Amino acid sequence: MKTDQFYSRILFSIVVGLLTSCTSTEIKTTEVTPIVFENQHIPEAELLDVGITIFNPGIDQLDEQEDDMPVFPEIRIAESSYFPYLLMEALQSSAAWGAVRVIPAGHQSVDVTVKGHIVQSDGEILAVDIDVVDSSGRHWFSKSYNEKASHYAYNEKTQLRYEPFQNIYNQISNDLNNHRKTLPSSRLIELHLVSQLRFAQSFAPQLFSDHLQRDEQGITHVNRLPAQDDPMMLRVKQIRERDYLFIDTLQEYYDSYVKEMKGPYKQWRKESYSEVMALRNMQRRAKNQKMIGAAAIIAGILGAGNSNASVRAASVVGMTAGGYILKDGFERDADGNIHAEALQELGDSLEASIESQVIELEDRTVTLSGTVDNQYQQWRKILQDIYQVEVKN
Amino acid sequence: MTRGEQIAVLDGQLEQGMDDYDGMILTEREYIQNRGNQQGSEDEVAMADLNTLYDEATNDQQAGTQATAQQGANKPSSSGEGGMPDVMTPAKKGDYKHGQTVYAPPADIPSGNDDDVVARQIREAALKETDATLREKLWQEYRKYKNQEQNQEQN
Repeated sequence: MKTDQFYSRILFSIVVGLLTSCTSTEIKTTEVTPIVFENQHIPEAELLDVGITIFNPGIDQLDEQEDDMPVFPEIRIAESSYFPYLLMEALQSSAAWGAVRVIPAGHQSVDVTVKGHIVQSDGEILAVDIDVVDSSGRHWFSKSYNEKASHYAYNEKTQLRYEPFQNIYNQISNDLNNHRKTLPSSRLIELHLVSQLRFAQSFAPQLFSDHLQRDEQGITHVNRLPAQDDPMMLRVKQIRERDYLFIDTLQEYYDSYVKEMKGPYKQWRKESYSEVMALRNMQRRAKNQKMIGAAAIIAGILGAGNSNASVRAASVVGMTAGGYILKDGFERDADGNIHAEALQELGDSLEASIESQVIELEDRTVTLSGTVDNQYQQWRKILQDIYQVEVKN
Repeated sequence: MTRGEQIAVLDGQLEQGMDDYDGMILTEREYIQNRGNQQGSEDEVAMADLNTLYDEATNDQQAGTQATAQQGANKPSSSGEGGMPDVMTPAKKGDYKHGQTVYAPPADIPSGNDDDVVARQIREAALKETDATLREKLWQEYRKYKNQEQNQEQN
């Protein structure tokens, strides 16, 4: 009798499982983390310049994704310049910094460098790893940010005034500002000087080599300062102005690029969101149904040998139902492929439409950086010659 | 040459290099601005088309090509758009103080790739001139100079 009750319970729980597996609830919030605006006056000498390097697109990890989402390396590359620009806008609006600019990797004349790595981006989820260091070599923080977009973020009619993943940019901005606030003003002023002297060192190493000193932990400190009217420092300052010009010109490239990319990218992300949601939903339901179907068949097989006729009859029903559920699960898999194909088409279409912008941005950035590097080499040589003349006499 | 003279020569080279550099940067910015202006007008057309398509697809009763184009052009930032929240923010601090604002040239001004030294100087002065009236006068000068130049070439 106990065995009969046991089988009855299994069959009952399968039926309950079937009913409950058909519904799932996902709670997403449209709440936006506000940017903390800096209302306190920050003295000029304590205002730090921030450089956000082009993000690592994370292409190497694209194939390691857990689900069967199609992957688009070209879109990732495009996003690696797009996301830093949005982060730059968030930081600028916080009014807590000096100049905030998107910079090419390797550019070192800023006080604080923000590096990013795109872990996931598919319209529904954006995950980025952020790493922040300052010009003295001190590590500020490394943190992973992950955000799930609400479908309201893509709804034309609700018209939320935010970028779907604005929270991420606001949180990074707030974290940076919170860290800055922990630093004493003497440290902020020193950081500014370290950046200046590092730039000077890169142009006239013989003259400025002993102005900076590195401690045992690898942190650079100011050892001594050049005279205010030091002619070589004045020349370096003029060059630094040109460096700012170069970086500002790059901003115009990025600005133009983001404007051109925003429309098609926004459309893609919106459409991609629906397909990603449908695909994930389909995959989840297919997986559940396959598991339940298999469980029902196993329970049916176990109950088939029972002496009680009603249990045997229930087992037959269980096995039959399990078979149907299993079949339905595989059919859902096939339906999921339709969404995967739709995603592939959407991605291919966006890749084609932004390809020329991505190539042009890269071409012009590389060409301008190359020209500027050549010019800097010539100026280094001239400063070296001036130094030689001064030393000889 | 004395030490001072040698340094003056090298400083002159440095200065010349900086002038060339500034010219190169100005040309680059001019290119981007021209491209941006061109893109801006294309975007308006594209936006109108996009809205029409959207409305047709969703059977929006308000649809109608002209009305929609108008709506698209005047629409505030929509959901999903990468804009910042519309809030009053304090003035941004610490923008680079190089004072190199460049004003886009009028539409009839050519690219300037074939400018000689004089034309380039007028052009750069016009690009950097903040006063609109003076700027237009400079562009007028530029046009006049370029016409003379072309006439001389033809003769």
